[in-house]
Amino acid sequence: MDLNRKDINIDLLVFKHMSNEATPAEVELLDAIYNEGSDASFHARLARRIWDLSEVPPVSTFSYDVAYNKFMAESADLASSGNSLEDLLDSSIPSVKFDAGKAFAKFQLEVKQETQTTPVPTMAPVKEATVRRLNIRRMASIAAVMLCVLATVFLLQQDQAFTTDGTVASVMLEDGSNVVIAPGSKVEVISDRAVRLEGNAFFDIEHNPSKPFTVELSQSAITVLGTSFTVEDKGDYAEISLREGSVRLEDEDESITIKPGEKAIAVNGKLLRATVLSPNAYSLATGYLTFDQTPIEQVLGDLMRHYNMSLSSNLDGCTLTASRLDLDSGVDALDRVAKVLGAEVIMTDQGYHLQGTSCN
Amino acid sequence: MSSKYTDKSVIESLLRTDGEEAIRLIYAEYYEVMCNVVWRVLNDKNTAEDVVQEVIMEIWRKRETIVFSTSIYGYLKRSCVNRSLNTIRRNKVKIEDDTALQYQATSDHTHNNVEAGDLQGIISNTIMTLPDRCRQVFVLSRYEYLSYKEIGDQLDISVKTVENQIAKALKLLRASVSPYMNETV
Repeated sequence: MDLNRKDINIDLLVFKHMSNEATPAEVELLDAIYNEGSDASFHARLARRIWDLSEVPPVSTFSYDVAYNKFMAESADLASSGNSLEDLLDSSIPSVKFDAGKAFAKFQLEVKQETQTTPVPTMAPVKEATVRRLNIRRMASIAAVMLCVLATVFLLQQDQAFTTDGTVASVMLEDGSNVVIAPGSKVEVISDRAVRLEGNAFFDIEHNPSKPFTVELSQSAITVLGTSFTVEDKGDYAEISLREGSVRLEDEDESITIKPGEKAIAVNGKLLRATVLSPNAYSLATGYLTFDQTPIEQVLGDLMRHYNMSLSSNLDGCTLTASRLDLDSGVDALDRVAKVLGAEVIMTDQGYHLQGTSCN
Repeated sequence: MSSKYTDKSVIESLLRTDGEEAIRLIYAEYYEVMCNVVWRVLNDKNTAEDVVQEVIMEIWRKRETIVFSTSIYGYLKRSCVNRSLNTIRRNKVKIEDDTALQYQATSDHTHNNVEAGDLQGIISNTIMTLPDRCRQVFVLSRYEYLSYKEIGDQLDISVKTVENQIAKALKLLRASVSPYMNETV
């Protein structure tokens, strides 16, 4: 059957479809028409409304004029009562956000696994010195909107490194593990189950009892089987807060194993165990910080971990209450905190300083 | 055809030459809208993503031969609808007969819709809190343009039941917005 678009009677096509008299090819064509956003779509949708209001007679007895008049009368009714539910329904299609970038990364992993089991010729493996941003350059010619969608999750492969700038970023490793990296931090992939970290990050490691996962820090190394935890590495000082599972922290001559709710600290060549006190210890994973009459010293500690910045203040003894502070940039977050405290942010050689007069 | 999307001939030929790039385009342009099609029918974000992933994997497997006879958007939406319906049929036991109206607050939609306060938000929230069967029938008819017969066949209910469910949905929607409508007159 020739379905030349010029010859189509859209009304008839809609009515045939609704009375189950359309061929599969016609149904498919109509689907395309409904969804293409053209004048024809508008026409088809209107015809559909008219049909819907005609109480579904068989097409043989369906009278377009009768149904159309009824439609117009109802429309007028609706309009005069201010009740334009029909219009509202078309503009209120329920929708939520979905992360296409993350899903595509998942697709790439799935394809990879499939091709490992069934060898099918695919693209040559790409090996670059820097991270492959989901081949974003190849998409440069596509709309900018899409870049935003894809820029959120990166797939990090072996021998690649990822360095964050001013904001938190999320990467997925080839084994499916996720890393949320604080601003100004760097994650380098050494092998499929080993990375090197400079700065702070939250790790959610895929469980693999036969292949432990290692995070190398400046002075120590973390070994895990499959778990989630936050790492803060300041060179001569490192802190690992464990959320679930079990973690072993090693330096040159000793090691320490911690349980969920505990943290391991490496400082001055010593390994220490402590309890996780801050409710914000895993804020990189949750994406926000919450303070409830929290002493300012701890607030600064949380901000330093989350945003990897150096902070000081003259407001010891003050507390802060703020719920769901979820700003991407540390400077913005600090500005917000300063505003609540009535303090000023001063930039110094050692980082930022919160200068206030009283506890507001 | 709409210029919002990459031309289907481009995607078709890309699928044959650089499959991964074509799939990347499909994700970038259609993933969100596909997920929403499934989400509206099944009212579960995770299942929606799983279903869409299956649809796209299927395209990936058939990439050498697949032909989109009319439009890619139409094809993708229809595939999503079909797979959603399969999911419903597989989980048929789970779906209760909803002769008694019950509203369930679901965590998925309440946070994400535009503005809880505006009318469109109220309507889309109401749609997603309709009883399962009622919501399914309504969104398949209203937003996916399936005929009553198709909906009835797929969900294994009569055309009369489809009509009744749509009438019920409209009645509930009207009731949910009427308090706000009167103020504006």
